[in-house]
Amino acid sequence: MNINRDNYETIFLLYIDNELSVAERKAVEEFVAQHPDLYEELMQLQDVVLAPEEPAIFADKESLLRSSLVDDTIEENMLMLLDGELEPSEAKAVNNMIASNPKLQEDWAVLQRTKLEADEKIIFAEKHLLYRREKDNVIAGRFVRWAVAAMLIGAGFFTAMTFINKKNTDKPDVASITPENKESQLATNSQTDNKEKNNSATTIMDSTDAATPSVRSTPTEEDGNQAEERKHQQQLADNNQKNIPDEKLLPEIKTVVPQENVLLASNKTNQQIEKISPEKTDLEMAISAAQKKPDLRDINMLDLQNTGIASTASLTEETNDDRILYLNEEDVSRSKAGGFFRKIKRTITRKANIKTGNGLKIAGFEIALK
Amino acid sequence: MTEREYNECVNLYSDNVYRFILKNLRNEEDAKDVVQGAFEKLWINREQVITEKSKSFLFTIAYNQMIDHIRKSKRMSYKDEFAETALGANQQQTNTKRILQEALSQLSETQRSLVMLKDYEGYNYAEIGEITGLNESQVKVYLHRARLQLKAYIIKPENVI
Repeated sequence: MNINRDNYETIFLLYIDNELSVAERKAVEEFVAQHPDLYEELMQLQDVVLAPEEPAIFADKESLLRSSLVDDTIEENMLMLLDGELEPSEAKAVNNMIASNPKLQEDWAVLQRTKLEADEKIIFAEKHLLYRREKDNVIAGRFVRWAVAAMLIGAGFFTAMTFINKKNTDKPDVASITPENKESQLATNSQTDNKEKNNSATTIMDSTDAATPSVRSTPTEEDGNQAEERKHQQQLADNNQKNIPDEKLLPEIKTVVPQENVLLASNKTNQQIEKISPEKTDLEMAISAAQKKPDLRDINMLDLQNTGIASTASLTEETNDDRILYLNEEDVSRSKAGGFFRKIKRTITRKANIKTGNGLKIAGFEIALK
Repeated sequence: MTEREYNECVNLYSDNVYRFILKNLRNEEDAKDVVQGAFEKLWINREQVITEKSKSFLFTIAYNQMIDHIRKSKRMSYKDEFAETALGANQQQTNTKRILQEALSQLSETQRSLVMLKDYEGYNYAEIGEITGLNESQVKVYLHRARLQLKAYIIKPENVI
């Protein structure tokens, strides 16, 4: 061992720790004898070495002792048995082991006392604070239900209206009403009565009844005022000449009909015929009275036919005072029966030169207004 | 999870969660707050939570909120009147239960929660691990240590009847 002033400190520490052999310790002592100034440093290092105190005694050595009968794993198995984490076969083995060892039985009893039991009396009283309600879905659900119901009702209503409209297209034309002519008509037609309103509005359609007397009301008297009207009638008749079917194809016309409401008037036809014939003068008077007024309306079915309209009143003369309610059926599709009636009416009108008055017309009946 | 299923969870698990938190925090108002917070989270996440997992979800949320609450408050005061107020005025704890509760209070939050989840709710090690964020081995070790501590406490000579 080579000791010198460069490495003596490390060697001195090994010396005081008794880490040097006998020869190395002797070499260190010779080095210190050759360098007396380093002896004091070695003594100072020797002073920091601790001296052992009185020996300490662990009194409870017995708790550290292990019995050969108690295995370290048995405690773990007992804990797992308490936690219910053992398989049935393993649980059975541990129970057998416990049953065979009194010490284990005591331990097992103590362990079972450490198991907690839930106190059912502890409850959360304010559950109403926890309940929730999805309002949006409810609203959405209600809205959907109402929307579906509205759609179904609308569909049903639309279907019903379509059916009704379709059914109404087959009906005969309705009459137009002249409400504001009532007073004037009442004044001028003072001699007309309820019989007159049956005269020009009724029609007999009885081709098989030859006994039914045919009634034709023809103007026998013409004056200056009627001539103009007749001229107008003739004009309209000429215009519709081509639309008149072959008369041979038409059933025998018994009475005059200014409008197409033939079927509606058929029930009253027989009664009206009796009244018509003796009261032709009344009809003529009604016609003449209507002709006197320049603002009379003329419901002319021939005009309607020319324009392709089933039943629409046309104004021959317009006034500012009168208001006529037209029940337009412009969009009504024509049926064969309606066309047939129109032809008949056209024929009768042309032949008889019948002109509709300005009485109240309802369903083929013209009610004279007094 | 539907609204109906959520409300059913309230009826089934609110008491259990409340008991678990109350035993840990030993404060009724704090326990109520934690319970409401847990059910609030369940309602918010109801579309992601299936009904069968709702209980464990609730306990997980409640446990985490309890831990957060403990860390925030940094208090573990034990109220002497706790047992009477929690159980009812007319209910008197037996001596054994009192000693056990005292032993329980000596445990750490984690150990106490593990014991309660195991004994009150019957969860296995894996489920407890999911709730507390521990693995199964850790749950087993912590739980066993808690048991032994409880055992050691109740067999002390001064606690033995």
